[in-house]
Amino acid sequence: MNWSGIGNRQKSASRGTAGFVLPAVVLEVEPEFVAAARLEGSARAGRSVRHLGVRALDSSTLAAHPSRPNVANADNLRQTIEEVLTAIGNGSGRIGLIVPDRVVRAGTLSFETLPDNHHEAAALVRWRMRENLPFAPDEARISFQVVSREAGHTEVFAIAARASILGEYEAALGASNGGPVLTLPATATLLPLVPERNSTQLLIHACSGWVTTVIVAGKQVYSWRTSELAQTAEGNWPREVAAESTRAVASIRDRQHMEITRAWLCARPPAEGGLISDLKRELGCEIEMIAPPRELAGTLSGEERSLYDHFGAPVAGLVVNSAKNP
Amino acid sequence: MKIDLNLAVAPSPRERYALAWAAPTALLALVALVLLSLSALRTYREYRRVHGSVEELRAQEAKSRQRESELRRDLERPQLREVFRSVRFVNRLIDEKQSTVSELVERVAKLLPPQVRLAGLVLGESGGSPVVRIAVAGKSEEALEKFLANLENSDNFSDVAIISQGFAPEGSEGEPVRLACSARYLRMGRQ
Repeated sequence: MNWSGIGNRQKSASRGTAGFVLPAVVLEVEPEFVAAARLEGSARAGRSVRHLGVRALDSSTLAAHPSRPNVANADNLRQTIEEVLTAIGNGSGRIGLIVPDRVVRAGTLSFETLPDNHHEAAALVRWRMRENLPFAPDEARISFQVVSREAGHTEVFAIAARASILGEYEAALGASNGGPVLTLPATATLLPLVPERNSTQLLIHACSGWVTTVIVAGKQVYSWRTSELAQTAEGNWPREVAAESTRAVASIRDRQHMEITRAWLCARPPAEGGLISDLKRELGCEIEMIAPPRELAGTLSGEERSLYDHFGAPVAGLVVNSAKNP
Repeated sequence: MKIDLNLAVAPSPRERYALAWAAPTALLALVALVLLSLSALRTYREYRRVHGSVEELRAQEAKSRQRESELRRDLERPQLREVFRSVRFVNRLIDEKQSTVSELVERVAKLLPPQVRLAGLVLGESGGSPVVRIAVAGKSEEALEKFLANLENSDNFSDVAIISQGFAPEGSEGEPVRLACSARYLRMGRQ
C-alpha cells in the first residue's frame, strides 16, 4: 500500500494552492487523449509553442469524475504520458497539468466582506464552496480569485477539486517531475482567449464526451456548467451541445435577466459544420470558433501546426494569460 | 478574461528555496570533500613513509640478528673458543701491563719493616693470574716475620707462600737473614 501517496494527498489538501504560473511544459489529460506542449521564450520576451504532441487514450483508461477514482489503468496512462512528453522533448523540468472539466467544481460566490488575509479568505471560500462539492470540503483543493470588489460586496470565482483525484493525475506524471506547478481545468485555460467585454458572452467547450458552458461578462463569471453528452448521441453530439448551451442561456436569462450577445466555441476534436449552424439556430447570436493564435505557433512544423489548431487552444490560453500576468 | 487560478499545491518554503540552497551546499560539500581527500592523501603518504622506515629497521634488525647468530655459531667452534680464551688472557695481560713495576715496588716497599730490605722482585703468571716473587733480607727473623704478616694482611696480595728461608753467607753482616716468598698479586685489591 502506498502510504506516502496518501500522506502527500492529505498534505496537499491542507497546504493551500499556488498562484498562477506558466511552466515550460504543459500536459493536458482528457479521457480520450493526452496532449503536451513545450513552450519557449520567457515571460518578459513572450512565450510561444515550440513543440506539440497528442496521443489517443484508450477509453478504459480514464473516467473523469469529481469524487470517484478516475484512473482505471494507471500503467497505460503513465505510458501514454511518457510517450507524449518524450515526443516533445521534455526533460525533468516543471510541468503544468490540465485536467478534465468533470474533475473540477466551479462557482461564483458573493460576500459582503472578504478578509484581506489570504488564509482567512481561503477558509471562508472553502466553507461557502461546500454546497457545490460532492465530498467533504476538507478534502478539496480550492483556488479562487476576486473578480469584483465594491463597498459591501465582493464577488469571487472559485474552483475546487478533490485532492485525492488530482493526486491520481499527478501520480501519473511520475516522481521525476516533482508534481505539477500549475493545475487547471481545461475550460479555465480558455477564458483568457475570450475577449474581455462588458456584454454577456457564452463560452462552449465540448471535449471528450463532455460539454462545459461558461457565461462571462467583463471579468465576472456568472455561470459554469459541465454536463455529460448523452451516450446515445455519439453521432449526433452537436445537437446535444446545442441543447446544453440553450439550457445554460435559458438559466442565466431566468436568474440574471442577461442576454447572450456572442458565443465562443471550442470543440475538440473539431466540430463539423452542423454544430455551428445548430448553435446559431438555438441561441440566436453570433457564434465564433476559439482559435489558438497563429503568432504563438511560429516554429511548429506542419503536422504540429495542425495539432495546434485542433488541440492547442488551452495551451494558447495559458500563454495569453501569462502575457496578462507579467 | 485574466485568470489567477491554480489548483497545484503551493510549494513549501523548503521546496521553494531548495534549489537556491543546493548550489552553495554542493559547493561547500565539494570543498570539504577536496580538503578531506587532500588530508587523507597526506596522511596516507606519511603512513607509507613511516611504514617504509619501520620495514627498513626491521630488515636491519633481522640482518643484525642473523649476523649475531652467525657470530655466535662461529664462537661456539672449539678452535675459536681456544682463541677466545687466549685473547681474553692477552687482554688481561695488556690490562695488567698497564700497572707499572714501580707501583708494585711501591706497594711492596710499604710492607717492609725498617730492618728489612727488598733484595729481589719478579713478576710472573700462574693459572691465568699474576704472581710475584719477592726476595728480602733482614736483620732478624722477627723483622722478616713482620714482613710476612704485612704481606698476608695486604689487600693487594694473597696466597702467600715461602719458597726459601736461610741465612746470608759469611760477609753479609748487615742483613743476615734471607727469605724468598711468592704471592698472588691483586692489582685492584681484594674485591
